[in-house]
Amino acid sequence: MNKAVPLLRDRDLEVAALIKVLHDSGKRLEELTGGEVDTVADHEGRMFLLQRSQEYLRMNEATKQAAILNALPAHTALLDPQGVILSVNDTWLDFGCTEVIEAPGHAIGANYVDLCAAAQGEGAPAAHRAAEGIRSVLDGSAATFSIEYPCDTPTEKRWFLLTVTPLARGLAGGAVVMHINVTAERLSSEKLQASELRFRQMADSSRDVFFLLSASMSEICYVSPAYEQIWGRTCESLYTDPASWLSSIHPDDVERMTGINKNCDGGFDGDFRIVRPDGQMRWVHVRAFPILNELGERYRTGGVASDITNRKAAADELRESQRRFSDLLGNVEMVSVMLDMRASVTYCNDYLLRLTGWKREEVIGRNWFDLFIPVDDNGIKTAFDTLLAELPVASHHENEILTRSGERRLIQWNTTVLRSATGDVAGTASIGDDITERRQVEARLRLKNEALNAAANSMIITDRDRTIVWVNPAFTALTGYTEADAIGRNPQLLLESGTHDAAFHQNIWTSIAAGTPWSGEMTSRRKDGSLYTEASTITPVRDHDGTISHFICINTDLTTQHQMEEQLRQAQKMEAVGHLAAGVAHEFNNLLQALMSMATIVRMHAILPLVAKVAGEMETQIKRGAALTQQLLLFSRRQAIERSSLDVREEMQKARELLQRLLSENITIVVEGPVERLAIDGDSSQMQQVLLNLAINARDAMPGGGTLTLRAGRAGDHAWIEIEDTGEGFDEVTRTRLFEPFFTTKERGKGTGLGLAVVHGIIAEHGGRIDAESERGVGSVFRITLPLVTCKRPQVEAVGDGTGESAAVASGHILLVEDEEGVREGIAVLLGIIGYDITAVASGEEALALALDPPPDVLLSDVTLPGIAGLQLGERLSERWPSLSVVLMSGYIEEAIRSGVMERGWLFLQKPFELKDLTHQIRSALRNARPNEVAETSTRSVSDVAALR
Amino acid sequence: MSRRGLLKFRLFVAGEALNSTQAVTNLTAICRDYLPDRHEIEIVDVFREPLRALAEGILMTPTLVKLAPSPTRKIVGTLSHIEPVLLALGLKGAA
Repeated sequence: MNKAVPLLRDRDLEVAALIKVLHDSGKRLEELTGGEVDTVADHEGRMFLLQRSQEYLRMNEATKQAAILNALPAHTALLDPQGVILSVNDTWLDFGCTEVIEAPGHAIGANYVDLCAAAQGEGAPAAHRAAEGIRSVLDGSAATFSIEYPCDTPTEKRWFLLTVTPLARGLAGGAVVMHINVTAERLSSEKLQASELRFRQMADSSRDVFFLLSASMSEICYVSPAYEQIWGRTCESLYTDPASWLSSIHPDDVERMTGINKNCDGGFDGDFRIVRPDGQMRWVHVRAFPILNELGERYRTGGVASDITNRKAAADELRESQRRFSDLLGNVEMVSVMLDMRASVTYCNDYLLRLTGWKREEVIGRNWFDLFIPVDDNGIKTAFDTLLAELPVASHHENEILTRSGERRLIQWNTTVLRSATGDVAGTASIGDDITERRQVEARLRLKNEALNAAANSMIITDRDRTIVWVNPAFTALTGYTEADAIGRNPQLLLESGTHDAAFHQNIWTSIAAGTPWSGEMTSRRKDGSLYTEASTITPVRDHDGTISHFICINTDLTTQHQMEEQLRQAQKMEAVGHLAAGVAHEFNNLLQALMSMATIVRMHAILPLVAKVAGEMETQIKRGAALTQQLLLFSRRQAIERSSLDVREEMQKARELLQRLLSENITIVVEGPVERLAIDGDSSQMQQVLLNLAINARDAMPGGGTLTLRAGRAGDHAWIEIEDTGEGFDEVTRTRLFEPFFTTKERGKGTGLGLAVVHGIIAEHGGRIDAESERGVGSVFRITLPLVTCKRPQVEAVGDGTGESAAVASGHILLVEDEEGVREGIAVLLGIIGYDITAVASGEEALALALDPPPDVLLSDVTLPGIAGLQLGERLSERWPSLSVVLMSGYIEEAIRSGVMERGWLFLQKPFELKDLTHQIRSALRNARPNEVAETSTRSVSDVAALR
Repeated sequence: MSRRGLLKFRLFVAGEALNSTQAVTNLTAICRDYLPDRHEIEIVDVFREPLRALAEGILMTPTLVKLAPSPTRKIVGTLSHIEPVLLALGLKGAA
């Protein structure tokens, strides 16, 4: 014990001394080297760090370590050989994950391996594997260890990579544990994997070959499994021997493909053949393209290869089929053309070239619409586009195409869509028929057909067996049978009227069957049972070889014609009745006149009142007879006249309204005047008839339109009306015959020839005149003059003043000319009773032969005389004796004579007349003949009457 | 290239100790300023290669050895004082 203590003390003292030496030596060395030296070496080369440098290095090292550790993004911890955490970086401390492996509290001093091994919960399996891994690194049995594990936060999915590396190489001296967040890498890798998976699935399942080549194209980076199906070689064989693909190329294509292979910098697109190990030949289509890096350099070549063997075969078939097709189309008389999608001509046949005059090389490749379609046809381009857009099975249309010389041909097209072998729309194929001539023929036929339909004649076409095949609308209108009723029937049975016997029909049939047309009148029955007559012509129709194929029957309905003829007959009959009536009236009235005179004489001289009464009764009965003849005369003219006072202005206005409805619009109606009221005595409906007939005549003279002018005015005591047209006019010959009945310049069926005759009759009856003037090509004017009522018309009708009965004793010399003896006697006795001197003769000749001096005062003459008639007689005696007054008498007087009488200012007596009428007219005549004696005669008359009674 | 030829240096240092680091920095600066394109520097860490220091008789670090052109010179220290260094290396004054 004692011994040890001094020993210890001694050693301690020695150690203390040596430490001082060391310290001093160090200080001295620092001094000697000026602080600029870090180490000194002893003779054995051992380095001694000087104190200051030692401190610097130690501090520097620690700082550096901490800085590096802290700078690491990974959560880093340092473990000792037992797994106890020696040191951690700031990131580890900051790490707030809830997971077991790096949970908070895994701080310095804790055994990390034990912690991981004891982990529980979701992350436990990964933690247990980590514990094992760390142990194996710590005991040196593994060089490194790493494990990727999920570590999700509530908001995101995360992955971490745990790596364990030994602390010192080759030494079992602890380990470094790092947790690195690899979420981003993991996600992108997952994405890549998914994308790779998709590509692989696609590439693996595709029948086409995908491939990737290195930049030099000497290495295969990838080839899809389809390679094995197409090439008949394994993918592996291609990877190991990339040049083997060249040896698979068909010998005939090798040269071409090697050339391309060398120059394939931009890509490749083409077909070539390959030969499989089993000797089969395949067509492949390859499309290759460069894959560029960021610098734009090619670093890969990618591509797709597909097996087009079948497609090639189909294309060959299509070509063959097209060839057969074009051989066929080359020989038909139809145009054929094929267009691609841009309407360029890809094919046309010889017929199109012959039709249009173009050469094939001028057509192929040209745009169809530019070359063949008239610029004014926009519809056909639209049709083409519609066809390609809607893809119907077939389309039909017609359009015109231009020939080289510019002529237009109408083509009826049948167009289909043209498809390639793969079913893609490639264009159109059209076959067309040149229907230019056919269409022209059709148009002509249509015109003919329309003409037949429009024809007024009814027509029937039957076949050879007399079955109706066609009827025109005129037929249906005439017969009442519809087309459906008629077609298929036998016309003879259909229209059988029972009028004609079997021989009649047999005759027709024999004639037409022999080829001779038959014409004749035939009566047929309408659907409603009524009969009609028509003029028929049946003509056989022959076909191209001359056989009779059809019969055509053209009919003219004679009903209208028959009606016209009937009207004419009626008119003639009426004319005849008129003449008869006039004749009867003349005779009868003379008879009545004689009776009247006798009755009057008897009455005047009757002593017995009974006799006077009977004579008076006779006179009454005679007057009734006269009224009867008057009615007969009116009937013969078919219209009784109802006269009243008319205003010309009103009549013209009425006519204008009527004409505006009646005349076509190309005729302008002008009405001028009159400025004042012009009253005439007349029948309004007759006046309208006059204006209407004249206007219709004017219209017919102006078929091309013109102006119709109605003018009226006053000239003295007459009103005048003019109707003027701007039509064709007429010549002098026509003018003289204008008013003749049945004279007409119109074509048959259009005019009756009675219009102007009626006008003339009416005007004459109204005491007026009508004249016409015309100039060829300029127009015509009809001028009517009518007496105004302000100017007293000469009174034709017998005028009774109530004093007529007084057959006053009168003086005067009357020359009586009457061929009927009874009449002459009666009148002579009456005039003698009144007191006149009478010279009575039976004819004009006798009267002219008389040498009377002094001359007679009054000539009382019958109008109708044998030899010289009343008018002429009056004329001639008036010439001889200018002071002679003329009174004409008649049982029936024609209008012309009546107007002749009035024109001359003569007087007229309608037979049979009474005494008062006679005395009135004779007195009037005497006043004219001896104006100075009128008053005297008049005053005397009153006493005469008394005396006679 | 200068007619005076290439200068070859060998610098013995003690790891990343303060003076050694300064010496490396200063030598690099001198070469850059005075000997552009005509120098070679070899740095020897005596901790890693203690035997080389022994072989060349280097007792202290940092020590700069001018190997060529001859004569060989040794300069101990941080080379912070440029003038004496240049003189010692024959780059100034003696020239």
